[in-house]
Amino acid sequence: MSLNFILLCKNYMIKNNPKQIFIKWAVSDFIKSKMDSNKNIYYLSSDWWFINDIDHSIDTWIAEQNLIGIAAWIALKWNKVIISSISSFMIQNAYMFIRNLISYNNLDVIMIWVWSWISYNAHWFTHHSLEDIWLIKLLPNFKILMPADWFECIKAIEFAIENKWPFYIRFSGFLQDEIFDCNCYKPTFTKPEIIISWNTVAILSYWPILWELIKTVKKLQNNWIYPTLIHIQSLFVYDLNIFKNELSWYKYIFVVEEHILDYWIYHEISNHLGWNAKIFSIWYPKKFIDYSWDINFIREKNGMDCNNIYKKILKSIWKKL
Amino acid sequence: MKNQEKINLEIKSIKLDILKMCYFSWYGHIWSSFSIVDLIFLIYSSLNHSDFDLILSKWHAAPALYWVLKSFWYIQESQLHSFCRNWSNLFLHTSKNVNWVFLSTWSLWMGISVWIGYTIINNQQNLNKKTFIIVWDWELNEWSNWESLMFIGSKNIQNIVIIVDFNKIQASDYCDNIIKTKPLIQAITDLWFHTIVVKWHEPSEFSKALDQIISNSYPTLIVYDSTKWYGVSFMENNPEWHHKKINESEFYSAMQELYDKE
Repeated sequence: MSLNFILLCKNYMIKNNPKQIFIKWAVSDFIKSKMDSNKNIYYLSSDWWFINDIDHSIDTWIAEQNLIGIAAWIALKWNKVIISSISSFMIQNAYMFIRNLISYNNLDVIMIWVWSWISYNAHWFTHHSLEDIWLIKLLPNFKILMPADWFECIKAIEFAIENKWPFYIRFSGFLQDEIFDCNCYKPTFTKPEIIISWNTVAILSYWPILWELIKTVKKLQNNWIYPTLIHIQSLFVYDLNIFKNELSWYKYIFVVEEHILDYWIYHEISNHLGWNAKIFSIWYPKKFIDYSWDINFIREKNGMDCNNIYKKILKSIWKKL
Repeated sequence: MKNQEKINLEIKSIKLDILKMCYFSWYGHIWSSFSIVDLIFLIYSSLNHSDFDLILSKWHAAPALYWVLKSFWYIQESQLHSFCRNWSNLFLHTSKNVNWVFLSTWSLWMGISVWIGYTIINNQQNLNKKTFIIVWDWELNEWSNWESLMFIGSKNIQNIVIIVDFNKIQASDYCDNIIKTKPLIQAITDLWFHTIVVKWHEPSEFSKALDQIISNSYPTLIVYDSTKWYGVSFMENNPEWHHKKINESEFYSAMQELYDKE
């Protein structure tokens, strides 16, 4: 069996994962319920929709610039506008519109961009989205949220509806299994969430590489290293001083980021806390990824799969000892 | 409508004011304003102000809008004296800090999409307001406009009126020498727009067009067949005046020519 055939089968299985449908339903039901209770919420979509054909919803299809222009004025009239689109197209096609209309005018627009990760299909690098955080980070007023599972995604939308900023919610068309128990988890989005709590070593990361790190933590535990895994949903809403209290007593801090161009969490934390000596960064190299669309293959090739991350963490700890 | 002589006099006075303002602020782009100043004035003087809204997509012509608004007491003359100065709210592209502007500036080709949002909200609230947006002919080269135009035509967005300032000159040359814009007008018409062509300096023609617009609500395109820098012979239809700053002798001869013109 050829490698391509295996990859195609795998892709087919992912595409037909019932969880994908469930997440779409969950998010669309949530947005609908919010729109029912609040008539000032509008929903606009371009190419990737959660809901359509109800009052206050507009679908512009593959016209991202038009979408942002329409959203700008609707938001200006004291409405809350939720936009969903595909990350790579939205950021690449409509960046100037987002900057001039949404960001600089500080409008109440929630941009839910799906497939905000390496790649969502076999369409190659045109569909990669590895620069999105950096590009949105450049814009004033924007708050970036990076929910890790469907429940946190719903909570992120709720948080964005309650707060008056332009938001960018980095999301997936399909998410992996639940990380958080929806019966007891109450995310605040104003402080980092600790997923696995131990001591000495802290690993900071965010979706989607978080799943590799959960596997990495298990491997480390087999080697008698018990790290604390911290999920960063957003640095743009936090008071960074929280990190002073939360992180000060860890001996080693690892920041693992699946984002190209800049190791942004590392940059923010090390600059703010001045702990360069004990913060280690593991991140994607500044390279043009044009050789694959398969996420696992790209991670492995760039040393970002759980085995390589595990080795890098062990090596850094040994070096320090 | 006010009588024609009075209108001509007011337009002439506004043109002289624009020329003075641009000369003393040392800022170019004067002719962008000159090609549409009479159009804006006619809309403001013909329609009840609660029945329409007007915005520019071609913000380069903002001085024309500022001075028309001033003549209808929406803006004070003292405010206009700060045009393009540090700490001013009045630049070539506007700021939302000006009381009648809600959204800070867009680059040329962003206007139509924003105006769709505005019209949708108006229509949902049954305000039955006409919403005019003035775009430049060569601005239509930008594809974002076509996203918006196709959306208006397909969804049949009511009450929106797009006025194309068809002056046939781009930033540095004639449209015909760069990208021909005339076929674009037919293309918009084919997108289910009702198209009306209005010859410049024919106020009666424009009044007829306005009557048609008021009595119907379908998406309308007005092609405003204009001439750049009309009224100042050495600048008329000369592309270099798109951004050229006017010197002292040119300023005085332009003033004289405008002043002498009937």
